[in-house]
Amino acid sequence: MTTSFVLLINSDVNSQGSFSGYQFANELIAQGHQLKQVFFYQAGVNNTNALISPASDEVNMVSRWQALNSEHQVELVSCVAASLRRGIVDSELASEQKFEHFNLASGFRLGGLGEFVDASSSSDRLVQF
Amino acid sequence: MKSLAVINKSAPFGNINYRESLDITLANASYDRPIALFFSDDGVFQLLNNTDATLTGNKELSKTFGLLEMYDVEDIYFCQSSLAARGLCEQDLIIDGQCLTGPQWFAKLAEFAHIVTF
Repeated sequence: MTTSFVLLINSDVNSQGSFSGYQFANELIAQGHQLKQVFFYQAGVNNTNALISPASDEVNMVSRWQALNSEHQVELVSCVAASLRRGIVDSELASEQKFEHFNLASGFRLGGLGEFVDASSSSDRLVQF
Repeated sequence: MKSLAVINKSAPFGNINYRESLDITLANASYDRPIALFFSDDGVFQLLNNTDATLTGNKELSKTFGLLEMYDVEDIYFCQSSLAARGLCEQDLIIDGQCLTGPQWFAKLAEFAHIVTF
């Protein structure tokens, strides 16, 4: 039976929680379940920062998430309020806030908490990392 | 709509868990999603009625929790043993709720389809 999931990623890009969430996402897709949305919140929004560049022999979580999006068309939504708090903006928001730069990585999209409510309230499972 | 339980285990002010927990609570409540708040561990410190948050550079918590009523968030539960372990009782708390023993706590949580923890 197919189960629908939303993952809530509150873990920082440099914490095990984010990698565990990524592994969980891949496994549930491999088992034929539906991953409706990965929602990044709290320090989890740091997973969407295009400027994250770990050493070459370390895991790059930003590109792992991007691969999840490009290979499986998983929707990657990041909370706009939590992102603003932590200095992550897309090009539209950057010009709105009169910032010189934007740094939301491609494959991710900023969204309101309402999008999380919509997706999670109609999914079978909500799993937080 | 699947119901949601929000568990608060973090003391306020050391980090912004309490604030981001409230944000997600109000967002869900504004969509009329069935929601309840649970306070345990150091999370019960968020509810102290003699706290002056401005001393720590934060917004006053009493105003913050006042929003819960406005959004019709009425199901609020406290962990009795967490309160007792910190020398607190219901009279020390700024909002009304129900005090639950361990078994009652888990039975209540089991009524919810989804759970998030802050």
